[in-house]
Amino acid sequence: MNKIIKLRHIALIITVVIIAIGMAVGTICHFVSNGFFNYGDEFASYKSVTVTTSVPEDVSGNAAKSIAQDALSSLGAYEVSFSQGTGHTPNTVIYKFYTSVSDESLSSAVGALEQAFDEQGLEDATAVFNVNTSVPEGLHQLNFFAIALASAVVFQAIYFAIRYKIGMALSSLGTQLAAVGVYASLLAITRCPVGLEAIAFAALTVVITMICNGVLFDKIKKSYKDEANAKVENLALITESAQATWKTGAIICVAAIIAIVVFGIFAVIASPSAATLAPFAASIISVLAAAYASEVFAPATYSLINAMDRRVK
Amino acid sequence: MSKVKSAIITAIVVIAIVVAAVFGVASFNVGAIQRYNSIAASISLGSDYSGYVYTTIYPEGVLSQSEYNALSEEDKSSYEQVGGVYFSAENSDYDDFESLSAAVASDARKISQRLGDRGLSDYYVSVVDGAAITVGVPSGYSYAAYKGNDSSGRSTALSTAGSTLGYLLADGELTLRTTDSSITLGEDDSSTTVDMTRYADEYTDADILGDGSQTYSFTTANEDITEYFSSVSSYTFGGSHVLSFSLTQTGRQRINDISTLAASSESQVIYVCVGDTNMLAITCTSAIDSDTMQFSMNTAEMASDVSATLNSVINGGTLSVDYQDLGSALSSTATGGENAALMAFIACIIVLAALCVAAVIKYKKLGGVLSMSFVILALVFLYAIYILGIQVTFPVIATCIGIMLLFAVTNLIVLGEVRAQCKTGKTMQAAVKAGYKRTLLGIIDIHVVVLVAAILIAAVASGAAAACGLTLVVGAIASYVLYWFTRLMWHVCSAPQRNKFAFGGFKREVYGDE
Repeated sequence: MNKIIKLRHIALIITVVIIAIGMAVGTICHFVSNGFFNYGDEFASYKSVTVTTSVPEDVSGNAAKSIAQDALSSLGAYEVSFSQGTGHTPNTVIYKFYTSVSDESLSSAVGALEQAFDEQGLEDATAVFNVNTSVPEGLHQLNFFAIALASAVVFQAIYFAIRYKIGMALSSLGTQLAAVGVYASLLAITRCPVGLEAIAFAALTVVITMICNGVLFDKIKKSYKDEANAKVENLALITESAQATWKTGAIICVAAIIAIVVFGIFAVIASPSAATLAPFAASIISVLAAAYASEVFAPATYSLINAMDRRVK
Repeated sequence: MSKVKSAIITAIVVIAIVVAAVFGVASFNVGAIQRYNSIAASISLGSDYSGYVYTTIYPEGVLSQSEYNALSEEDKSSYEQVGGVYFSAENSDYDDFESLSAAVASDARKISQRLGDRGLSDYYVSVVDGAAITVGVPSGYSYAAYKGNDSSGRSTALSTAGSTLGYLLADGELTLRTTDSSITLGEDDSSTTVDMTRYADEYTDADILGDGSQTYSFTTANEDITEYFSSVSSYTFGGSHVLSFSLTQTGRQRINDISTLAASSESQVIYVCVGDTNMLAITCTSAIDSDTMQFSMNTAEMASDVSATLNSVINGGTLSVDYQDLGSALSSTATGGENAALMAFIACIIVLAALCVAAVIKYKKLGGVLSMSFVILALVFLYAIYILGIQVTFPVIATCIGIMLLFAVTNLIVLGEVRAQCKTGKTMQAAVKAGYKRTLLGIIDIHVVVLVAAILIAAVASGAAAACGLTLVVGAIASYVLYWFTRLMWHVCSAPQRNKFAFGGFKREVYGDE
């Protein structure tokens, strides 16, 4: 911690560099790839093969599932869904594929499916290859979310300004901005698939950072007030407080990551595909961003603001 | 506190936790045909745990593979295959596929906007082969409904999701309609009769009400009704679900005229329709003369669906393509796998158990008290999510874990302070008192900040983020209450112990004169 405080300028520079790299990667990908972020399944275009069988011919839908499995499993679908048919709807199996899967292989799979239907005497069955273009307009939810998050961050700054010191309020504000900036940048750099849940994880980033900031600045305030520390330099007190609260912040973040990994393992057991892991990867990135911002950026910024304040005085 | 009192209080709390836990997580058969579905099995699940309800809408002149297969050879000749669909310029309002495709893409964006405004936890909209639109919304099944143990819950959820799709995919113009073919204004000699059949339009014979009756517009074809409304919103207050219209000045005057006419009609109803979909039936017994109109809706979902659709239509979001009637909505398996919900539940139990074990390892018997609080916090989440109708997605679970960690942190801070106080030579009671006193303000600060942030996120954001905000609100309050409950139970449980320091694994600095 002592090193972080000593090298606080570097900590700030590293943060700016991470955010700059994220913006650069995002901007480049916006023009040459699939967008600023790697938008997840609900935003990304995909190819699909839809297999339907009528309920009279295939009561449970098992024939549809089995034939589709034989013809399509080798093509690497990222999502498979099944809808049980009723009296007026067919059994429907949909295999979703990334756009990188070739049209030829999917078309030939459809041909194989039609042949299998004939062999099994499923006259009503159909197999259709579709190209689906997703509509990412849902991202306008971000506007409201950004307003809510900005209000929360500003509230914390005002609250800290009243309860603690202006410097702490400014550090807290900067830390929250850094947390969200680093989170967004890491998402852009790692090309982790981003869905609507990534918006909620941004809230998690801010909340974890708020908790860690609260712990840190409460400790610093107490050490300022402690008469035993009257002759100790502020910088030493900040270092000591950051050292004392570092463990608490680390415990929160490590515990959060362990919990997410546990959920990720069970999610993979439920559905062993790479796409399943996307929200868990985004949530780990959100915790890492919060950990970096609160454990490195916050003490570095506050010590810097404190030093500047003393110089002004 | 006496040993007996301590034992009684501890037993009552443990029994209450066990009972709440049993009803919270255990589902069982009651008799031969009845089944009790636990709270956990009755919570509404997001798409990752219970799948989507989806449908595909096809414009007039576009057919799916199965519809095409059902055509006669003669009819098939007018269609050409485009990807996985079939297009016929003869049967379409569009001369070529490209112009239809452009209009469909534009409509898909409008639909996506409507779904976004609707505030669903998740959804998807995609254009299929440039000619049709597939829309999916979370099925909202509970685990019991998803696994077939709650058939009525399943059909209710399916019907709600299907109704949401029905409202949000409504195509056509906004009209205000009546079933009366003529309306007589005034009485006796001064009465005048308005012939409503003059306002017959393309929707008159569309069987909008589903009972075979014809409907007539209250307005002429030249009037733009969207100019009468500035916005439509919905809210739920005190169990009532309200749809609120804000009217423009022109709108206020025209609604006054129309409601005067409707009040004099036999049915006394104004049907607010988008295309051939009836959104709302307004009963008018007198003229409406106000800047706002508020109407009660049956369910919050219906109010939100209608509000999102009408808002879209009055703000230029009318779908330009004429689509075929909405087909049956299909319900897919969970996107996270068939057993995703069960696996997530097992993961929740493991994480909770790990927190409890960690607490016991670090704080010995006091860890048992902390574990009790962790379990209560988990049960508070379970019951609150059920009562508030929060749809469970992974972000909501992550938020619950976040609050668990907040609670763990508050206890880490206070117990660290108590440990420090013990080392100064204080008695256990004095150390606890001093520890809680010294950390109180800091802990209040953290909770206040988190609570206000949570309220802002819950109130302003929508979808999964709003659900997380609401969960955070519950969690922040529960965490603070349980912070004090932990202190109470610490006092109660440690009362029979002779060595109070050993109870929490603390050590006291012993001075020579003691």
